[in-house]
Amino acid sequence: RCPEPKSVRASPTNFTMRISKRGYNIPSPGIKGSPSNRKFIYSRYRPTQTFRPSEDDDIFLCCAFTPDDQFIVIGTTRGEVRLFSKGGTEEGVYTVHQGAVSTLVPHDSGSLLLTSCTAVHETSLWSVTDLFDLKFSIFECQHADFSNAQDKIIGTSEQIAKLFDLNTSQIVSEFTPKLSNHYRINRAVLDPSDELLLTDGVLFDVKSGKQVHKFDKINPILNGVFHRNGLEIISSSEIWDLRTFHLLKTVPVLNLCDVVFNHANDVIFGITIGDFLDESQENAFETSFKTVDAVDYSSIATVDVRRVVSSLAINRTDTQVAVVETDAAQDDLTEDAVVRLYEVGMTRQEDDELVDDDEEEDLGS
Amino acid sequence: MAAAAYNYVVTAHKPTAVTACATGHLTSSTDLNLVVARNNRVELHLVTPEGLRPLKELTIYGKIACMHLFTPSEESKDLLFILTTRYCAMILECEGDGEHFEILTRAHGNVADKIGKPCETGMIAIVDPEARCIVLRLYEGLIKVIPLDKDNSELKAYNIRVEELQIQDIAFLYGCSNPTIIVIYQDTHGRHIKTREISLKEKEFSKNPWKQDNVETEASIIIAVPEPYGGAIIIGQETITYLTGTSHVTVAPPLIKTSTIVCFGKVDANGSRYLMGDMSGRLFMLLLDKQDDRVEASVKVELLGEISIPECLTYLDNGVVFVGSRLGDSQLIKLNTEPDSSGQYVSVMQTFNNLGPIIDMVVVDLERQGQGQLVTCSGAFKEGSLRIIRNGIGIHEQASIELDGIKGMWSLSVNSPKHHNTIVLSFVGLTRVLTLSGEEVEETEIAGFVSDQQTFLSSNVTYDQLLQVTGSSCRLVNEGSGQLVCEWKPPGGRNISVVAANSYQVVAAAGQHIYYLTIQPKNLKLEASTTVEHEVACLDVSPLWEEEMASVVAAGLWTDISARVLALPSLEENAKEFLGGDIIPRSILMTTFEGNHYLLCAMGDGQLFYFTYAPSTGYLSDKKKVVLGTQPTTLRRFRSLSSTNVFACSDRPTVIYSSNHKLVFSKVNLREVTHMCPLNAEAYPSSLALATSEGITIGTIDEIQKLHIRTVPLGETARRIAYQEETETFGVITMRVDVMDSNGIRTGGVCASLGAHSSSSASNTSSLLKPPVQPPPEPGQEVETHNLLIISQNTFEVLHCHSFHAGEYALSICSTKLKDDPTVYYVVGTALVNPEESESKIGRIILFSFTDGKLLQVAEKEIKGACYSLCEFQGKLLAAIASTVRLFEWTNERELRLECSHFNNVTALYLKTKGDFILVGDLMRSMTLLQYKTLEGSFEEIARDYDPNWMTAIEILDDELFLGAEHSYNLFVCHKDSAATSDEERQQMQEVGRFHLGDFVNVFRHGTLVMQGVPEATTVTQGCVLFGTVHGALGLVTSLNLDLYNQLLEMQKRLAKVIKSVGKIDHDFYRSFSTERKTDRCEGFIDGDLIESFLDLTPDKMKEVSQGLLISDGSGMKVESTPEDLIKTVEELTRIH
Repeated sequence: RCPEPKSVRASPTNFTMRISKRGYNIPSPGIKGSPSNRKFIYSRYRPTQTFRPSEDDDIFLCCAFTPDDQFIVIGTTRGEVRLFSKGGTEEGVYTVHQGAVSTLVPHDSGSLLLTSCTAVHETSLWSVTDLFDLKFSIFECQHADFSNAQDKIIGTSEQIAKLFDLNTSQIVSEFTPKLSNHYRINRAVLDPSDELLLTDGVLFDVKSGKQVHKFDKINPILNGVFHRNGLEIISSSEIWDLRTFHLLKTVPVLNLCDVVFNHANDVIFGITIGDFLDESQENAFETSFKTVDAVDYSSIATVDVRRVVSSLAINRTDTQVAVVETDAAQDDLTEDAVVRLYEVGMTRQEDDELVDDDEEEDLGS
Repeated sequence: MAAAAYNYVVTAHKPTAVTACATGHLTSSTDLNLVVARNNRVELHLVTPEGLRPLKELTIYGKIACMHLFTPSEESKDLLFILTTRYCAMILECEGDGEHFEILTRAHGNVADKIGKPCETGMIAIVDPEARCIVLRLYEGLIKVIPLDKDNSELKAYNIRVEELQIQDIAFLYGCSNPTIIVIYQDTHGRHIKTREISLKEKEFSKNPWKQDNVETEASIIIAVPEPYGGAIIIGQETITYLTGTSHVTVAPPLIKTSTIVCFGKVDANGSRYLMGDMSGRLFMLLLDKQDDRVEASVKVELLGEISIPECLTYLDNGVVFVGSRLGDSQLIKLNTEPDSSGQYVSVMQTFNNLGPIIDMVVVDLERQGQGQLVTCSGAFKEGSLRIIRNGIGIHEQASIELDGIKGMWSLSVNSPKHHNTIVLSFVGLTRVLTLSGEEVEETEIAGFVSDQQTFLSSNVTYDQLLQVTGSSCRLVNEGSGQLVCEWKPPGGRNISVVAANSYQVVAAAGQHIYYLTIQPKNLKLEASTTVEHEVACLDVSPLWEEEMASVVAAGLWTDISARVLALPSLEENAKEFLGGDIIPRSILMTTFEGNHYLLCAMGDGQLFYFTYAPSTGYLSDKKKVVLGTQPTTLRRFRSLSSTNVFACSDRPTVIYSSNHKLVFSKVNLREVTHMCPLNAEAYPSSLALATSEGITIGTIDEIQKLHIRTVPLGETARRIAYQEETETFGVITMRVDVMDSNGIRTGGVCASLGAHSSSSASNTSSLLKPPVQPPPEPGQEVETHNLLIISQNTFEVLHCHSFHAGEYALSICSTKLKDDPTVYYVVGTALVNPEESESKIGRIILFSFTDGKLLQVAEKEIKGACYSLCEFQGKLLAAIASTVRLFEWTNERELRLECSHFNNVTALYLKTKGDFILVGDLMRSMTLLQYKTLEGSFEEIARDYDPNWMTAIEILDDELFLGAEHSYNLFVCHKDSAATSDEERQQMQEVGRFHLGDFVNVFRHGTLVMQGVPEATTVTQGCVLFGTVHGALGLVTSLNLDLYNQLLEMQKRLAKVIKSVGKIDHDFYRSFSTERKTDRCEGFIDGDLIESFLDLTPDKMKEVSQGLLISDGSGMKVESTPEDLIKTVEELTRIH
C-alpha cells in the first residue's frame, strides 16, 4: 500500500527531525502537542510497578489516582477501597459497599471520593481528608460521577439520570428518556460545560430539562460519552456530531470500548467492555488497551499487556496509567487481578551492553 | 520550611524577529505608518521620503499572535487590533498629533473559551473590510465573532459552530452586504472552499453564497480580492486559483512549486497586484487582470528577486516594501522597474538586524579581558549566521590611512574655524603634518613647526596660535601665517620629557623640574617652576568643569609611584597619593563627569587608578582600581553627544564615561589603539582618529552602552557551537539544504560549508554506519547535508568543513580533553535519520582533533539512537542518547567504552553538569538530577520534577536550584531538598520559581556580558545565566538576596499599578506560568523589564511608587524609600546587562 500523501507543511514523522527543527520553528499555540508528538508519546508504555491484593480472595476491579498524584485507590470485589501510596505500601483498607466496587471517582479537591456498586445499586460519597467517613449514600443508583464543575453528582438509575447536589445529596433534577435505547450498560454523562446530558442514548438540555435528541442505537451495550471538545459524542465506534446529530465518523478501534480521556484532552484511551453475557463475542477478553488521537480519531497504538484489561486510569500529569489486569483464564476470569502502573512515553529498559532478561513479567515488583 | 528562589529576570536585548507587520494611517489620516510586531513589542514607524522614522515602541503584556490595522466605518484614521497567544484582544488608537501622541486602549477583552481544542494550525484573526466585525479562528469547530460596535470598550465575542473542522485559512470577502467569510477546509477527501455569510443579528451563519469543492490538496492561503474584481485568490503548493461565485481560473506557474509561498501583501487598492514571498526567500508579483465580465480573468506570476526569508510583507509606497523576517534580518526593499545586472528587480535599502532564532550560543572571552562575548548560532537556512555580541562600543570605520610607528597624534584646525583640517603625527625623530580636504589626505608643512624631531604635543591655543612641543622646546606659531612667534626652552639646556597644555596654559617637565607657562600673544610666559622628589612620568593641566584655565596640575612620578596635585600658579603640592607597586604611571588626567571631578591615572601595565577630587579642599579620595588592559595606557578626552568621555588607548581600548554618577568602562571593538584624538573634520564630523600599529583609523563612535553585534553570514543553518580555546577555533554544526533540480543538486547562494579552505567527508573517514544507498533525489526534492565547520576565532574564516553521511543529522557537539590524553577533541553526536521511522535507531559519536589546520577523525562509536547532547564529565564523555544518559570512558586504546547508563526518560535532550551531579532535561518529563557514584561507577537518580514540563533548555543555578525553560514560553526553578526528612520528599524536586517569559528559550549559558573585576560591577546580584530565544532576544537570570527580592517585589506590585498596560492586560496575568494544562501565579521571579521601566517614569510617578515603600537602610532597619533610593537600586540592576 502506498503511504498516505503527506502535506509539505506537516511535521516530520521522525522525532529526531522534528526536534531538530523545533529550535527555529515557533510552535503555534495548540500545536505543541502536535499529532506526531502525541503518537510518539502515547504509543510507548513502560511497566514500572505492580500492586497486588494482600488477601487471596480479594480481586481488584477498578482504580484511580488521587488528585495529588501521591496515591492510588483501588476498588475490589469485596466492596473495599484500598489505598496504596505510589511507593507501593498499602495505606488503608475501607469497606464501602456490600458488593463489588464498580467505579471510584476522586473529587478534584482531593477531599472526597465517590464510589458506586452496580450490584447493589448504591453510590456513596466519602470524605477522605483525615478520616475515611461516609458523607451520604444514594440508593437506586448503579453508577455515578461528579459533574465537570465538581459541584454535583450525576447518578444513573437504569435509564434515568439524576443530578444531586454535592453538599445536600438532594436531587436537583431528573432526566427520564421518553423512549430509550436500553443499553446493557447505561452510564449517564454530562458534556464538558455541564449543559448537556446523555443517558441511554438520549440527549437532554440540563437547564430546561428537555429531551433534545435520541441517537440511533448502533451498539447493544454502551451509552457513550461526550468528547472533551464538547462537539461530539463517542458511543462505541460511532462518533455523533452534536451540531447536526449526524454520524460524523466510525472509529472501529473504539468498538465496544469504555473511553477515558487524558487530562490534556487530546488522547483517548479505550478499554474493551467485556460482554460477560456473551462470551462468544470475539473481543470479550481483550488483553490490550487502545490509544486514539482525540483530535482526528486516528489510532495511535494498541498496547498488549497479555492480561485482560478491565479498567484504566491516567494521572493528572498524563505521565502514568494504572491498568487493572486480570489473568485471562477462561473459566475463572477473576482469579488474579493486579494494578500495574505504566510510564507513558517511555520504552522498556534495555541496556545494549547487557543481555536483556527476556521479557520480565513483573518489572519493579 | 519550604525553600524559595529569588531570581531576577531581565531582557538584555529585545526580540528582533518580526512576527507581523501592517501599513496604514495610524497616527493621522495623512500619515503613512508601518507597524511591526516583534514577539511582544510593537514598533510604530512613520514612512517618510527619507525612510522610516521610528515613532514609538509599545510593550504588550503577551506574545502577539495576530495584528491588523483597520479603518472603522465613518473614520479616516486606522485602529490597531492585536490578539495575544493567551487570548487577550485589544483595539488601540493613536491620539494626539505629530510626535506627541498617546496610545489609547479603545476596547479590550479576553476571548478564551473554557473548553475547546485550540487549532493545531495556530490562531487566525481577520477584520471585515467594512469593519463590521472581527472573526477569529481559535478553536477547532468554532468561529468566533467580535462585533465592532462603536462605543463598546469591552470586546465581547460569541461562537458560531462550523461543520468544517480543519480550517486552513479564512478571509473576508469584499463588497458583501453582510460580512461574508471564505474558508479553506480539509476533510478526508481533500481541501475545499466554502463561503458563509454572517448574520450579526442572529449570531449565526445566514447562508452559504458559493463554494468550490476539491481545490488543490495543499491550498493554504486565501487572498480576498477587493472590488471591482471581487472573489478570492487561493494559493497552493503548485497552483494559484482565482475564484468568484461564477468563475474559476487556475494557473500552475512552474516557478512557485520548488518552494512554498508563506505570505503576501497587497500592492494596489483595486486588488490587481500582490506580492508573495516563499520559504526560500523569493519575492513574486502576482498580477490579476480582468477586462470585463465576459472574458476570463488572467493570473500571472513574476519572479522579482531574492529577499530575506519572509514572515510577512507589506507594501509601503513608491515601490518600497517592508519584508518582515523571523529567520533572518528584516529588510526595506525597493522594487525597480528595470532588472539589475543579476536580473533582480529588487534592491535592498535598509537591513534590520535580527539575532533570531538563536539556536545555540557560547560565552567566550576571546580577548581575555574579563569581558564575555556571546557567539550565537542565529537565523535559519540561507539566513543562517554567527553573531558576535558584546557589551561595548562600536567604532564604525570611515577611512583608514596606512602608517606605522605613530608615537602621537593631534588634530588641529588651521584657518578653519569650524572643522579640523590638520593632523599632526609624531614618530621617533620625526613629525609629519597631514591636511584633510574633503576625503583627501595630503602631506603638508607648517612653517613654524619643526619636522625633524618627535612632537610631544600639538594643539590650537588662544590668540589664534598653534603650539608644538618637542623634546627641545615649546614653539608658538601664528595660525594665519604659520610663522614661529615664540620659542621657549627649559633652562640649563634641559630637555622636555613630558608636557601638558590647554588653550591658555602649558606645563612642561624636564626630569624632576616642572615649569608652568601661560600663553600670551606671541609669547610663552614662565609663571613658575618647581622641583619634585622624583622624575615626572606624566602631566595634565585640564581645566575642570566650566573653568577656562586650570587651577591645578596633576602629575605622576617615577620611583615612588605617586599621583600628585599641584596648585597653580604656585606649583605647590595640594595632594599626594601613592599608587603602590613598581609600575610607573603613564598617563594622568583630570576630568569632570556629570559635575563630579575625577583624577584618572593609567599605569604601564594597563591598570587604572581613579580618585574623586574635591576642588574646594584639593583632596583626592575614594581611590579605586580597574584593569583596563595589559599594556601602557594613554588617556584622552573626547566629547560625544554633549557628554564628556575618556578614551583609554591600550591593547584593550576602553571608553570611560559616567552614567548616573558612576564610572562605566566600556570596551571598544578595536584590537589595539596606541593614540587617539577627537576629529571633527568636514568629511568626518564628530569622529575619532585612532592610531593602531598599522595606521590611522577614522571612525564614528556608537551610541554609548549599546550591545555591539557583528554578523558572520554562513548561508546555511548553524545549529550547534562549541569553542576550543587551544586551537583558537569554533566548532559549528550546520545544515545545508540543497534542492535537486533537473540539472542535479543546486545550492542556493553562498554557503560556508562549500567555501571552506579544506574539506572532508564521512563517506571517506567513517568505518561505521554505511548508510543504505539512497535513491537519487527527485527533482524539486530538498537534500539536507549536516556539516562540522571549524571556524577561526580571529578571522571567522571556515578553515575546514567535514560533511556527515547522507541522512545523518549532527545533533550535538562539545570540545574537550579526555582522561590523560593531552589532545583536545571536538566530539560530535549524530543520528541516522530515516524519515519513515518514528525515531532514529542508530547514530555515532565521533571524535575529531584539529591540529595544524587539519581535521582528523580519531575515533567513532556506534550508538543506539540519536545523540542529543554531549558534555565532558570528570575526564569522561557524557551523552544523552535517545531515552538514555550514558557515560563513556576514554580507554588507553583511544576508544570510547560505556561505563554506565540511566534509563528513566522519554527522550533525554539536555545535559548540564556540576561536580558529581548531572541535570537531565527531558522532552516532556521536566528535569532529573543524577549523581555519579565514582566508586560504583554508576548513576543514582537523586531527584526529579514530576510535572510534565516539555523542556527546551536547562541550567544548574547552584547545588540545589535548577532552572528550566519549557515550550509554552515559561521559565521555572526547581529545588532539590537535601534536608527533607523522607526519601520521597528528597526525590521530588519542588517548583519554587515560576515565570511566564513569553518567548521560547533555546539555550542557557552561565556568563555575563559586562566587564568582570570592575569595582563598579554590581554586587547586588549573584550568578548570571544568559539565555537566547527563538525571537532573537537575549536575557539573563540572576539571583537576589531576600531583602532586595522583597523590596523589588513590592516595587513591582506598585509599578504594575502605576504603569497602565497597553490593552489593559493585567501584569499578574501576563507573568503567570501558563501551559495548556495549568496556570499558576508567578513566583520566585522579579520581572526586571517592569522594574527597569521605573527609570522612564516621570518624577511624580516615581514618587507614587516610592511612597511608603520600605527599604533596608543597610543596618537592618527599614526606612521609607525616596525616588532617589529606588533610582539607585534600579540603576545598579541595569548595570548587570
